[in-house]
Amino acid sequence: MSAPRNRIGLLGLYGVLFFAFIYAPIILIVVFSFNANPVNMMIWSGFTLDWYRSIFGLSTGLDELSLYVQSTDQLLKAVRNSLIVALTTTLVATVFGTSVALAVARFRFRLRSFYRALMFMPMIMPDIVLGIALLVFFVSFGMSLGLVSIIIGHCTFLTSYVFIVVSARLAGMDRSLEEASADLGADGWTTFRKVTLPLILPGVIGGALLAFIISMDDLVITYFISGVDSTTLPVFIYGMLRRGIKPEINAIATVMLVFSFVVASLGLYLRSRGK
Amino acid sequence: MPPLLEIRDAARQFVTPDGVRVAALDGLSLTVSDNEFVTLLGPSGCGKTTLLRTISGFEDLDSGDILIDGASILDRPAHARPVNTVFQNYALFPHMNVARNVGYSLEVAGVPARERTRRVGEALELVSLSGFGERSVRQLSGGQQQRVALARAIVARPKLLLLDEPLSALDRNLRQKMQEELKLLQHELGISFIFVTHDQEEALTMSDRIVVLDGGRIQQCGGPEDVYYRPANAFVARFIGESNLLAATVVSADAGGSLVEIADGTRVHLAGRSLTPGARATLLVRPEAIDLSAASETGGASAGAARRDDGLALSGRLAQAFFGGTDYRLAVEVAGLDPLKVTARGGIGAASAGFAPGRAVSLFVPQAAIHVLEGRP
Repeated sequence: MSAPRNRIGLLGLYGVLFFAFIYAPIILIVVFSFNANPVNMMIWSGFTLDWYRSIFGLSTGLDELSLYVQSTDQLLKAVRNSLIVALTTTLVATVFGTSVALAVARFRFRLRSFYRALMFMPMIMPDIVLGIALLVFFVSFGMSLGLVSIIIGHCTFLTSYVFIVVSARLAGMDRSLEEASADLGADGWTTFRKVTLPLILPGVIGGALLAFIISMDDLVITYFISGVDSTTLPVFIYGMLRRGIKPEINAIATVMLVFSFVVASLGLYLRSRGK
Repeated sequence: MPPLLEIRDAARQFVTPDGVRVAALDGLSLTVSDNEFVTLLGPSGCGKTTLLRTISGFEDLDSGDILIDGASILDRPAHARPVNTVFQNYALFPHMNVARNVGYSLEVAGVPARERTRRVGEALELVSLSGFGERSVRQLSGGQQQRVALARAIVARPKLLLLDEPLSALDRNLRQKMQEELKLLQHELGISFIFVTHDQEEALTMSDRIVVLDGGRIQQCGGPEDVYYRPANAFVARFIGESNLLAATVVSADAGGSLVEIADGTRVHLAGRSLTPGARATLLVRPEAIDLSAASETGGASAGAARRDDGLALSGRLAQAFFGGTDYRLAVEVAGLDPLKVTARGGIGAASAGFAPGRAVSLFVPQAAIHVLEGRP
């Protein structure tokens, strides 16, 4: 009898180690963000909210040399840029991704599976290739790099993400519901508004949230196609790190983590409600 | 006055994935009058669902025309046709409650909310679901969903209601109940119903007229008794009800009728039917039309001879017996013929009378109960 229990014990240990491996760095960064020690993060020297105060532009009484953020203007501007890019991209990618998903699911036309494959491509394309390609494209068309180029760049691959999420939802939807709607006198647009859209809405919202999170988070592609004034938050953070690791980075990371959690939870909640 | 629905020479071909062209509708013509319950009956792939979907507007015709009240509806999209459908899987909108499902066509047509509520209430009452309006359709049983689908399809009082095998998902008892209710409802509403099914019993129970389809063509169109007792061909005879088809040859014919001979050499005189001598024919004998009695050794010959004139007398041996509740289904082996299906009435006495396999039995079919089909089965 002890052999199975032993095995379960080992399996349990494996499970604990597995999750520790994944989550330990994340937990550490949250803990560090409250550590008052400005020089060595690994040594706990008391609880402080100074790093949070610093990134939100409040006075801290800390030595300026230990801070990245001399004025919060740059940081806030990066946040603002990120939000503008993410919100615009989400809107555009959701509309286009949903439309393509509907077309591929509902109509039989030549090259339909080719279309589907084309929509999957940007997902498997290496970010760095996409980044370089977009940069070359924008430059050769004489387009200045800025928020617009970032938004266009993000739309190119995030439309695919929305397409895939919405397609999965459409695959589970009974085609005869749309026929029933038409049979009862609803034209195409009314059927879409009253039947199709409400039924695929959890998928559309899920796709939109995914697009939003990925857009907020993207560094590699954005790094290539952002201009001087259009630094987004990930690019900004990357720039900070090149000047050494300072404790504020932990506070910024923690805030982003909480933000992502809230958005993802919202998505899960909406999804469970739609079932 | 033009008929309510007229289908002229409807043709529709499908190409299977292997590139074979299959005619789902092969030059089919049909008219449906006001207040009529018409059933499209046939095996799967006979074209009945295709026909229904061309009327509702979900399939196109390759050629031919469909007219309602004398006007072609082919150029009208599905949502602009004055017909409503009850779908096989009901297709209720899962995100709407019962009342909104039922009132959907009124909502779409812009009927004011108050009138909508009233008419939804009436429709729910017709299907005995008053008070169910606020329920979610997911909470309903199969039978209740069926009623909601029905209420939703009749709330706008279409000229024509199409029903695509709506009872196939229900269990037997509920199905029988719904068959009766549907027939009564059709009568009450005065709306013509076109009902698609592959269940011949269902068709016989409900229809004013049955259209038997096979291979995209109408095999027979007539009342339930017509198609049951006087099928137009062997396909209809086989498809509707149980049947014994006996290959026969016409021996002679005169003003009084015809004499035919079946495979084992037995002859029967069919009064009032003039057939061509020498022609091949098929005799249809329904299992319940056969009188079965225990073969008697004494005095049987004279009784048999007396009856021989007005029917088909055979003797055989009981091969199998199945008890089906109201009656017994028997298989009787007759020398020179395929085994005959015979239905014998049950009852408490019947079992003791004994349908033990192996027993010698006499069979008799009155000549009036024999239907003659041209050609071999």
